[in-house]
Amino acid sequence: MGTMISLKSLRVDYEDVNAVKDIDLEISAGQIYGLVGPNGAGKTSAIKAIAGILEPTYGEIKIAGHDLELEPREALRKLGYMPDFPPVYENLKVWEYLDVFAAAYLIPGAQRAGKVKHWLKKVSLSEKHDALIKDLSRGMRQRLILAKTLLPDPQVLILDEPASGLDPLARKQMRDILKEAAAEGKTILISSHILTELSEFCNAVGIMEKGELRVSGSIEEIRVRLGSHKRLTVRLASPTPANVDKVYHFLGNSKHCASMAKTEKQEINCLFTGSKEDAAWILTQLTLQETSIYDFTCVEDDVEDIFLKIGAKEVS
Amino acid sequence: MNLFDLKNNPNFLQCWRERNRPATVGSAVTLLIIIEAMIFTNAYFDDRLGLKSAQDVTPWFVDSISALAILQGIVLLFFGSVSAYRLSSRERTNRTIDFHRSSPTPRTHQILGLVLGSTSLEWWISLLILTVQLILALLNNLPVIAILQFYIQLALCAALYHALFALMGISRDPLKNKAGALILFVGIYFLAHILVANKLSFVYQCTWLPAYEQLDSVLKPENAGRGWPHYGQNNQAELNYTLFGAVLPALPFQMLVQIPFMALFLAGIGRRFTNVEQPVLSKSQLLTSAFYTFTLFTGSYVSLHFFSDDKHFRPEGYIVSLLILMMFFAIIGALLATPSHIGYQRGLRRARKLGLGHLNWAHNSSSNAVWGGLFCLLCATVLAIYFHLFSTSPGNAVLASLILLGHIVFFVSFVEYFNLSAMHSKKPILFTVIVILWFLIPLFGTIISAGAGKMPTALVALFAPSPIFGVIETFLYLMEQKSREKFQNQHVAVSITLIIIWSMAVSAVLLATYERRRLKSLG
Ligand SMILES: Nc1ncnc2c1ncn2[C@@H]1O[C@H](COP(=O)(O)OP(=O)(O)O)[C@@H](O)[C@H]1O
Ligand SMILES: [Mg+2]
Repeated sequence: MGTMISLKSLRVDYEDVNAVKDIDLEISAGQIYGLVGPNGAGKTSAIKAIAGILEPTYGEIKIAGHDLELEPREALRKLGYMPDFPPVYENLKVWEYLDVFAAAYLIPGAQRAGKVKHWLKKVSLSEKHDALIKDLSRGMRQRLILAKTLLPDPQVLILDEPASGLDPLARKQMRDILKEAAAEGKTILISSHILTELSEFCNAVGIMEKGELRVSGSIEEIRVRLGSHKRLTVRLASPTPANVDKVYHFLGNSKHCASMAKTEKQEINCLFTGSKEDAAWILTQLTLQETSIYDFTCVEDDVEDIFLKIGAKEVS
Repeated sequence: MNLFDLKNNPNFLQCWRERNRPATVGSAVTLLIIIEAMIFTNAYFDDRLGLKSAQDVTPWFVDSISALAILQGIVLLFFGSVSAYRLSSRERTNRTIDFHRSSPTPRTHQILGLVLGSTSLEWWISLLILTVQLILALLNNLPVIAILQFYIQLALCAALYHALFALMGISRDPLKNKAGALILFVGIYFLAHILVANKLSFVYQCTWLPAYEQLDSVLKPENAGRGWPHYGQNNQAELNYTLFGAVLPALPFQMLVQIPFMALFLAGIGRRFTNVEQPVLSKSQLLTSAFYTFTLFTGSYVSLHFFSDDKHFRPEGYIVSLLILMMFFAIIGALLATPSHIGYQRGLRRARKLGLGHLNWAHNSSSNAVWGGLFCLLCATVLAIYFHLFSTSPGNAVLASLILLGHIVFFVSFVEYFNLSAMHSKKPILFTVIVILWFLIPLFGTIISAGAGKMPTALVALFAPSPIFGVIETFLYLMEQKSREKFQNQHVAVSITLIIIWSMAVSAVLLATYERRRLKSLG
């Protein structure tokens, strides 16, 4: 299918604020793209422009190949949008609300009731089928909006901070639903200022700051571009000073290790630039030197670390 | 998908469900039955017990049909408008309008669904009342067609009101202060007074009066041809159906007036769905609606001027209404057609990105200069018709147009200057400046010259900046009526007036041009 969301020099302005500065972005089919950035970075503004709610100053937005300005109906039909704030009709019943928006996505009357039931079950709101929306809690409303977004079976999902206001169980449930959607080949753009909830299932990220997309690409690409390293941690069963020094110096002499550090708990930390084979070789050598190693961990930075790193770069 | 397939219209479904819960429907029907029972018993026993005056020979069922017609009017016009306003403004407070904006339902369906859905309860109640009226008519051999025509005329007028109120509702920004809406409302209120106080046919046809007149003349044949309210001897009742001297049938004339305005309001609702930030009406819609209104005005005025057989009636005074209408369109138009600071900047950036020198004049982000020019041209053309009608001398015609157009040019350019300048975020400044120039200084002039026979000529400087004075002066020159020489030297007074108005106008134009250049150079 190729590119599902394509932005070309997208710019959004408010009075005295340039919220989005000429962003270019391409998200291909099946990707789960995490848009991260601190509050005020311009994520919501960019997402609103893509959802056709905010008229950008200029820029081209294409959804599944349809230009939002030239063929809005075709583009919007492909799109499911979930805002950061749940817009609801307080005086409608839960099923009525879903039915209204199923109709808005041109789903024929005969199919709507079944779809409504199916999605209410998915977001665990079945027992609220006939409840008035004004009696729902914030988290329930958020789940209702998630059901509203997925019900028309859109190919592209745009979710603005969907996890805010959800309890941990509901978060997990939402993650599962989104993973399932991704497995079906849907393209997902999800924004957040907290990455933990995204990092495990995003396969690409974009980091926004002050209206600019600082970095964008698959996590692998970003890692390479930022010179991101693996982090090596070694713990000893009986950390005597002699033992610790021995390991410390051995690692220090290796060309793959940098930024050596000893923690208070006598753990040894360093950045590791070598391959898996290099790590295995070092472990073998250390074991041969009888240094009582009980933990030898080599982890890659997760998205959160990358995010922090970029943040740190900006600050420095 | 069919436009009238309301069962699949999301906006209609939402409003319908919310407004037609069993409890609401039950109490509405109960209330309706009680009111109808009261109407019937009242009318019936008036007849039976001989409580009526001797001259009043209308049978009870005719009285009942009339009373039900008034009930229908209250339900549709009043309650319907309130509901249209309430449910549309909630789209903004709930932010559900965002969901509709990002859904693939066609705009026309959304507009229709919102306006019809929000008033659905009122519509079916009015249909129930209609059914009762029809049964009464059938049982008593009254013309059923007349009752149906009444309903169609009333329904058309109700639809116009609903469109207007839905537009006002959906234009209400819950986050901003309500001053803008209030000013608009007060403006419409005063305009309505100025217009309704006259006998122009197009104003009559804007209202629900023709519907009731038509019903009244059929139910009580003795009232036929007397108009509503009853005008007495002269031919005003007929003139109410006359445009450019031609008498039009009731329903087509009402449609000719009401449908275009309804379409305009519905288009405004559509623009709200498309982009909340853009003005309710586009530059070209503003020009078209001004053109149409002036045409209707002229058609109505010409009819009065040539065909009224009321000897004591002087329709010339209505020209003041026309001039006020021109100022009103200029003010509302300038406020809507002038881009905001950020809007103008967006336009510049967009044009630059697209490699254009500037955007089309009708674009929301374009300067109002071309729009203002076209509006002045329109006003000048309309004035020319009246110069011809009153055989105004060329000199006075030029004076009259210069005074009115000067005020229009000033206001249109001054708003643009203000919006683009560094003061743009301080709207109260604009408001204060205008209040001082238009009201406070002339008020001061009036106070100090009170009681004097002829005013010192120099005092005209205090009145010149105000379009209230401007409209009166324009009117006097147009009518060749120089008798009212309030100032010691009328010729000098006119020169001072023109110099002041046009130096204000030219400075505003220059300031606006300067601000446009400044923003352009900022990039
Ligand atoms: N309606 C608005 N009017 C003016 N400024 C706004 C508006 N909405 C957002 N902004 C500003 O635009 C910037 C980006 O905001 P936003 O897109 O909401 O960021 P995020 O979603 O990343 O937190 C912020 O500086 C914010 O203050
Ligand atoms: Mg946000």
